[in-house]
Amino acid sequence: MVKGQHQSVERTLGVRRFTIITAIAVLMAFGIAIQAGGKLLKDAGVVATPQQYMALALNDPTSLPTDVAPGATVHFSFAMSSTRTNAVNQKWIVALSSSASSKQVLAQGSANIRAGSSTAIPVSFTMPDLPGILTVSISAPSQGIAPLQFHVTTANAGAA
Amino acid sequence: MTATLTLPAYRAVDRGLHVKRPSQVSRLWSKSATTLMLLTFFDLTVATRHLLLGSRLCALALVILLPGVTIVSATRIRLDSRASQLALVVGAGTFAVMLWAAISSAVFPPLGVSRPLETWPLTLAVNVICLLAVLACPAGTDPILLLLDGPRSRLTIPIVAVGCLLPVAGVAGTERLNAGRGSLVTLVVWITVFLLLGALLCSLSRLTESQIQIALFSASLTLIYLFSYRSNQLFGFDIQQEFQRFSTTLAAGRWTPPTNGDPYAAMLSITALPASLAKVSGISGLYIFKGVFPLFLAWIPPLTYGFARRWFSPLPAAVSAIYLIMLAQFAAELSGISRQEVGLFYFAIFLLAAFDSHLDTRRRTILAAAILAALAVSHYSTFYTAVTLLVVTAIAFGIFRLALRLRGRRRRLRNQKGFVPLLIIALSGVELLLVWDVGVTSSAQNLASFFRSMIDQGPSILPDSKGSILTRWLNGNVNPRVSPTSFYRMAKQASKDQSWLHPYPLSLTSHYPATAAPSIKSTGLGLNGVANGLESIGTVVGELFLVMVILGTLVMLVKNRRSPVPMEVALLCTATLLFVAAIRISGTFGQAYNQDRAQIQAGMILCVSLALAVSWFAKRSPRLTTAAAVISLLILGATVPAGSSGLAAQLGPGGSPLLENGGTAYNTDYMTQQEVAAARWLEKTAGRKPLISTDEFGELRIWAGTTYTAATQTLLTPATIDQRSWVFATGYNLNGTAYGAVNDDASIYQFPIAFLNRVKSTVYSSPGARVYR
Repeated sequence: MVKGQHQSVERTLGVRRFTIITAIAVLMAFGIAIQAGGKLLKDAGVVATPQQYMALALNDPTSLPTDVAPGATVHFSFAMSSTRTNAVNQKWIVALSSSASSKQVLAQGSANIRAGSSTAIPVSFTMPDLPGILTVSISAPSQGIAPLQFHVTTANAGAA
Repeated sequence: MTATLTLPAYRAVDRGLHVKRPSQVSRLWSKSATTLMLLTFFDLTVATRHLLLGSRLCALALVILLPGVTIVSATRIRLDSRASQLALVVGAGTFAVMLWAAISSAVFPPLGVSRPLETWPLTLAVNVICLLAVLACPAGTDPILLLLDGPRSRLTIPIVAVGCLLPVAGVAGTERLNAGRGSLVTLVVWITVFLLLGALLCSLSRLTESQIQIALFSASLTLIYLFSYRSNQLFGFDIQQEFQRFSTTLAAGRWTPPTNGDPYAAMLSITALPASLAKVSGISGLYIFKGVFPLFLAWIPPLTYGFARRWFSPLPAAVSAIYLIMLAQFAAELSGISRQEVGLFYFAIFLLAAFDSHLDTRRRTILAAAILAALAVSHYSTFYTAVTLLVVTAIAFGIFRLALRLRGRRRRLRNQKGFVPLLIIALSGVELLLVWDVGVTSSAQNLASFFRSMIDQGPSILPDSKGSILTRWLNGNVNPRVSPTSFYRMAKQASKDQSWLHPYPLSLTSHYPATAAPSIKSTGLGLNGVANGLESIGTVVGELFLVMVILGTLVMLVKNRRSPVPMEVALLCTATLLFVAAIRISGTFGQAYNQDRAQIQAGMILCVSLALAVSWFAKRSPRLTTAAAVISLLILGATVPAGSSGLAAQLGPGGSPLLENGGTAYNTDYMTQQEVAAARWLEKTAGRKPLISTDEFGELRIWAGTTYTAATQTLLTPATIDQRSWVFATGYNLNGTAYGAVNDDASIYQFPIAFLNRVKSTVYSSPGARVYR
């Protein structure tokens, strides 16, 4: 009788230990399945995937030129960053426009941006002799990004 | 219920059987073996957390459960059901982690450990706490195996399996929608949850208490995850500020009481707790907030069921719990308020413990006071409300007992025994408020401003609603929406108080008048008549439930001798009902505590009133009652969740944040990585204490992405933008929509992009966010 009781309690304890081990095993297996099936699950869209996009940013936006004499050289730099998983060769264009004149390309080029990183691009150009408030724009075509822009006033501003 | 399983040798000794008495070492081993093995495994998972996701998940579970189970076992407290006991274990473990984080943050830095909330100091602390607690456990019982005590049923495993799969399916569906792959999976999961709850009501007699509670937990968690997993960032308003305070604590490696009275920084539930969990488990803070906090909230319906079940049969108790799940704000709103998820969880355990007649009075009083302490450090509003209700109930109960004494009803008086413990618990609540909120964290400014408003303006009955009395009641304290032109005018008026503001000249701003926002795209079916009809039916059903709650409370109070509910609980229900009415009609109360959230906390108590009303019907016609409950709860489920963006709304104009990537709620609450990245760039580039302007919900993106705690300027109109300020534009701003509010008068208007392009430089630009300077 005592032996029977003893065995019964031992069996109950065994079942409970087994329950704990099973719970831990299920949790571990769940984690391993998610880790191992990462690509598959991402392809199925059932786990979070980071957005892939490009961004433009001026490197020192607080010291942009505001008043520039015609013929003076303007220096600034901007950065193109990418969260894409592959390297991108991206074209860029720096242009000048005003209400009185058509758009004028000041500088252009292309930059190789590695996956998930950013590239700084220094720009310098000579300010043309145009009247009024001018807008310098920096664009990265075909990325769906609005161009960066800042306004400069030339010494001729009053003549407009 | 008392412990039923004792280790074999002890059981034999207890029964006077002649077996060899175990040695000291074997006695110690018998009660600590499982704990020691699990502690070793815990240390191993912490060590391998960087390698395996499974390790992270196990470490997360064990860091809460191991301290909890050993502490509860050491206190020798057993609540009346397995679910309640497990909740108590989770609550004790969570409180232990919070308390340790607070104590170690205060004690260790002067001793040279500057970052006590790092992985290994915390892991060591968990080991020590568990070992000390297991030594204090009663001899002959294994605390961990004891937790699994109770009857078993074949149905349990399939129910647990479905209960685990449903939330996982919900997350998968939500992630698919996030990735722009449609809402079919989400819709299927949502409908499955409702059908599961309907089936649950129809098969209560075949299920055990634990199985019913598992089903309620799973349904709640699934609905909550449908919201919390929206977006790759956090989804909601308050949660962004909470995450910011967490990030500050995590970066500091310690928790410090706020010096500026900031109530968010004062709450351990959103600072020390997630920081400790993130450090020990290696799971990112983002997923602690998205995935772990909802587990606390999901406990509430099963625990509410357990509370109502004390006095009623399964059907009324289950209807009450499911009604709570179906309330619009349960999943939609509370999933975005992590501090209240933890606070309400403690409040649910508090109700179970404080009114558990199986526990002896002394143990019950101490346990209730300890849970109140956990509530005090978790969420201030839930705590203040709990203390207020307790004090009012204790006073009312005292008056009731006095009336019985004066009328010479000595026999009845002898049956009303709960007064002294209730009074002690209420007083301990007041004391905790003074110690924690006033003394330690100096964060009682919300309470102080409530009292100031009450003195200055009185209760201020329905100050903002317009229309008939019926409309005003149905709408409660809802503010009207103002036109863009009015908003521009009000914003300009409000900015006159900002003496530091350097606005652009009127000659310039007057060229950019307010215009209406473009219509927001959404993919509703356009059956507006059907949607409105369903929503009206939903409103009527919701009000019918409210009438049943009122009738149930009145019957419980007036005919208490014939009701199974004790008088102190009837008085608590009455106090709660009056509190809900006050929040709904009083502007002063409404400003102090959001009425939607108050309704959930009140619902956890008033489930007893609803259960009483349902049980009256159930006694007369159980089948009819079940059928009526299933139909009415399904109607509520289809119409009410997420307010105007529920399933029914999708039949009409659309805009459900759960079913489409569009609409107002999507705009305001769904944050993109591009927006957060732009906010981070802004913080990094703009230097110390920059002046930032953004619209009302752009502010969330700043909170989500940065540690910027200064107030952002959210009056984003040409006349109120400072010439020196940075302007942060969200994705929906770039599509033309902006949101603003002045003194709670909200408006939707066209984002002033032409003005910004004219006067500012575009200094950061991505497809989904922009920064101007």
